[in-house]
Amino acid sequence: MIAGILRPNGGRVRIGEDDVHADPIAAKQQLGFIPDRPFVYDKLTGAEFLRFVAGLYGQEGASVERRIVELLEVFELTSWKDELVEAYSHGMRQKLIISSALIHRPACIVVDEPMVGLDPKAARLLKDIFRQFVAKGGTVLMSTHTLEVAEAMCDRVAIMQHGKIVANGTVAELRHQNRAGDASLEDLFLKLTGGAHVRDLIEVLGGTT
Amino acid sequence: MKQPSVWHVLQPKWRTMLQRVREERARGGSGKLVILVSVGFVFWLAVFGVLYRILKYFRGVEELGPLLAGKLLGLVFLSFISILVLSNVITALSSFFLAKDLDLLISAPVDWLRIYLGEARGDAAALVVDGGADGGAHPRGIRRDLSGWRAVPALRACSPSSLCSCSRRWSARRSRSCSSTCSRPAAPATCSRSLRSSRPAGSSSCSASSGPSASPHPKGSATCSTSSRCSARRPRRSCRASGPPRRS
Repeated sequence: MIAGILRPNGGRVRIGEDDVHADPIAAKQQLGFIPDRPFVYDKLTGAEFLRFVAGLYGQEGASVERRIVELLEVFELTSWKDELVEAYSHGMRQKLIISSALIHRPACIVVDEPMVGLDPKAARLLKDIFRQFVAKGGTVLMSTHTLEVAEAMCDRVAIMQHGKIVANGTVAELRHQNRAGDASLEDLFLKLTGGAHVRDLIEVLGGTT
Repeated sequence: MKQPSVWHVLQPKWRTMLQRVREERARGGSGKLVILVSVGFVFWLAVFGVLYRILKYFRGVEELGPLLAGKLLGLVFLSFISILVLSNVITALSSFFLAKDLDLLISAPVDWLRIYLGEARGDAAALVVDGGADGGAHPRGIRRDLSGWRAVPALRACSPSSLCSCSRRWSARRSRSCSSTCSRPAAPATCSRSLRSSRPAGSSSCSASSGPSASPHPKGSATCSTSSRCSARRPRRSCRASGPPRRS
């Protein structure tokens, strides 16, 4: 919905001042979208793919070429620049997708499970990039099931259950609201979503074996 | 913001096509191409031969023959058009909603019309040509097989696709006529032309006025093909390829 792929039943999505559904072109111009299962054209090279995505955002010319070189260098894909995407590993594809989301210098990035398939070095690099992006005034909206990553990276966390936000705030605020002391985000999550009984069950089962 | 052109949206598709051609060449696939072209040529030659003989036989039948030939060609042509329309609609819808790159394109600031033209029209065009043989295969499969030699018919097939859309606004005769001229230089139309060109002088001028692409419309073709006899019996009826006969 945020990326404009689905139409909401109700409510509005605004990116900056632009409504995604009333003025999708202007809103999407500010958005970088990294889906959970990204699609990459196998028969394009890495550089061609980035050039294509830049073209979708109306960007072309020398500045795009410079940006492509810059991004491929950051993600250590320079030597693979002219190789077909079909030869890339999962992690390399993920890096390419992230590069494509950053190519038009968006104000906001929507990212779904960004760390899946990345090697530790690339995962660390991505965290640093996101932090730097936020430090420069950008916004990252990350959806993840890896609560350690969310706890380490996110300024604000929203926990959703059955399509509704059950808790929203910083990790400290969530702890305070739920009187959870120094509990981890995982414990908070289980407490809020009613998953605590699963842990009890495991303990019981562990006790009997 | 400057919108990307349709050509740009189609860029991955034609680049994919070129890459496949390159890979095919690198694998020494030109032999396969020659075989495919030869088989295709022999097939169409056989179709032409059979239809030519049938139509020639019909032409030999007194009075009824040319009318029968016209009806037959009309029937064949209408069948083709119906299949084309149906396959276009099905393919356009399925490829538009099931394309793997749809999320990528929709999440980008691209006008919906450009996405439609890039997605639906490209795949529909491919299916128009290939789908007949593949029995309505899934568009993804078509796209996978869309290597170089299929690109030309796929592009050519864009015209019947467009013409089918026009047929709602145009008269059936006009649409059929244009379709046969632009996009279906297949055996029926060729047979029709070859038969008409070998008619007696009195009717050949009539054929010329109806144009080489005159579709086998029952009224039009019957009027023309039997023109020498028609004009003898009904002198006031003008020999025209188009339009219903005037009331005498």
